[in-house]
Amino acid sequence: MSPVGAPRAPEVPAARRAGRAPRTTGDLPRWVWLPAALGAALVVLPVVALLTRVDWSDLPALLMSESSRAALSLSLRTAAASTVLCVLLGVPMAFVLARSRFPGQALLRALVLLPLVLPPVVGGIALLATFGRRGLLGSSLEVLGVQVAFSTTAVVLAQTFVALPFLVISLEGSLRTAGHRYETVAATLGARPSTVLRRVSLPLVLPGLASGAVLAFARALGEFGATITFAGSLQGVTRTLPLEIYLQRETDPDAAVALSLLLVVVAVLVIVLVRGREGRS
Amino acid sequence: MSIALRLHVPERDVDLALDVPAGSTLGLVGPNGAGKSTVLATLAGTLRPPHARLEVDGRLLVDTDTGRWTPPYARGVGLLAQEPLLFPHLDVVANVAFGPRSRGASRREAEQVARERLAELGCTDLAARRPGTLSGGQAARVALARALAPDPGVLLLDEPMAALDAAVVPQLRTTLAQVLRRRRDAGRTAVLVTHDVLDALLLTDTLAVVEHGRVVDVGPTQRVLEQPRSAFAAELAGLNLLRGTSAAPGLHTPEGLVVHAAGPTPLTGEPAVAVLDPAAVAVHLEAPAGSPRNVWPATVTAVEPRGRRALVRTDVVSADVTVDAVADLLLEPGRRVHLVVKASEVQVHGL
Repeated sequence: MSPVGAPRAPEVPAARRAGRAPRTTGDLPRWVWLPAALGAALVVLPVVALLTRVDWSDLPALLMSESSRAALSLSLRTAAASTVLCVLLGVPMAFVLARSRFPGQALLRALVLLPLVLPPVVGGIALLATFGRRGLLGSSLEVLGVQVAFSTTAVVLAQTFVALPFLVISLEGSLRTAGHRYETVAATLGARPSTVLRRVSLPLVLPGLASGAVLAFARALGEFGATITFAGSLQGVTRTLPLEIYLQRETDPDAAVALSLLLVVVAVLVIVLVRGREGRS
Repeated sequence: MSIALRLHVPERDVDLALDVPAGSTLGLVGPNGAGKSTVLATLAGTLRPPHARLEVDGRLLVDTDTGRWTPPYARGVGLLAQEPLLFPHLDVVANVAFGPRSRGASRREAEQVARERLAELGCTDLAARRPGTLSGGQAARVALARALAPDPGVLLLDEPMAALDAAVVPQLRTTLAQVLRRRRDAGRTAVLVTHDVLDALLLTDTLAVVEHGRVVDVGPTQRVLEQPRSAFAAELAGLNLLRGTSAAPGLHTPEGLVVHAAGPTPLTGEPAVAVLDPAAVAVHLEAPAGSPRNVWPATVTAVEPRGRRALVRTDVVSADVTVDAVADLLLEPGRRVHLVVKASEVQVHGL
């Protein structure tokens, strides 16, 4: 029982509440909207500006030029290969990080995230130091007659290097959210660890894995710095779409804009895919 | 399947031994944090305690002295938790078939077993459903079917009905009693953690009271509840318990209370408990004059209404009175009263 005369919450006028969903958080100060709107404009305006520069009538021809098709095809093939590589390596990494404990785990997790914050050019230099002719592994590979740098393989390696953390983070988060209680139940039902992994753990985090793979694919598709440093820019071999756009900008700005539009469309599709999935789960 | 467990976990202050004969159901009761979950986790193999030795059916599963450790999947120990935890990506049949399938049964065999278990529990019509579409009671039944499907020698039940609607509990309890009886006849063993006296009475034949990581009482369920030796078992059974030393005319408590009891009393000078039913405790405002009864001054600490009656808790024992009496006597916390109990209503047990 509240004592008589206790202060009451002020009544909210019905007119102000009408037609609005009930809020649970406090009202924001109005001034916050200004920097927030500026930030949104900074992101949206350049994309709109890009659209105004698109030469719609020549678009099909620009996209169908030989160099464009070569770059697009190379980008799709290498990004797909990198995504497969990310899944093959990243899924076990996420499981080790989320489901086991060992000394140095925190350090390993930090190192795995390094490509996220590292400038891609630096990543490219590091890859050269590893797989280049006189690199850590490169000199041994050279003896075997394998040259990695400045090949399509190098493109895939560079893309995997920058995209792997996206998949690992996404999946590790899903694994932690899912918890290990289902896995415990499965074990008490007689399932061996491999069976638990295959029939319980993986199916439970499949949405997270799909989101992670889509993000990794998008990151691989847009990769520029590490690729140009480690793989160079050879048409049909290492010149991916972002590299092609950068080169075309000098000679044929309209083609550069057209190809950019293509990447914007892919990016929007990726966001729709990932957010749609998150919204459902 | 008999169970012999020795368990010592210093960081959880658990140090106990439990022996369960084959074909029995052991109930584990005790306050939260007393160590019941530690016992279950050790039996299931989800916890690796620093000091433990576990034999099931004469087979040594765990011995920390020699480093012997059997992983959960190789123990033949099933677990039914408070939440059903049905695999959300599998339908009901696939959930129940999971255990047999994991133990090497063919897809067809596993599904056959699953359908039989579901039929036994009256869940045949749920077979094709997804777990997300089931009600709480249905999910609990399916989870039980899934736990039973691999036919575990030992079944662990961790408060399997605590999270359910009160409306579906009685039916599930009946089902569980039937299942446990059937398993008992086949020599299967079960361990049930519960906070419910009805679960203990209807589902278990042996009851162990765990407090502060120790087994403070263990014996046939009826005996443990009717002649409680621990405060927790007394509270569970709805009885009052007073600790002290046995001495004529019954029991002397450390607080100086003299308890009159009828019938045989244990050896004088030994630790003992006096047990009395709250319904046998009368509440008076003035001490009644001259009769060989227990009259104890007390202060009311709480009044808990229970339908048309109320449990009046005091600093001595609790009294079960009508709500009319509560109103007439203005019983409320802080009220000074006299509690009156006939000596014939008090039993004293040695510890």
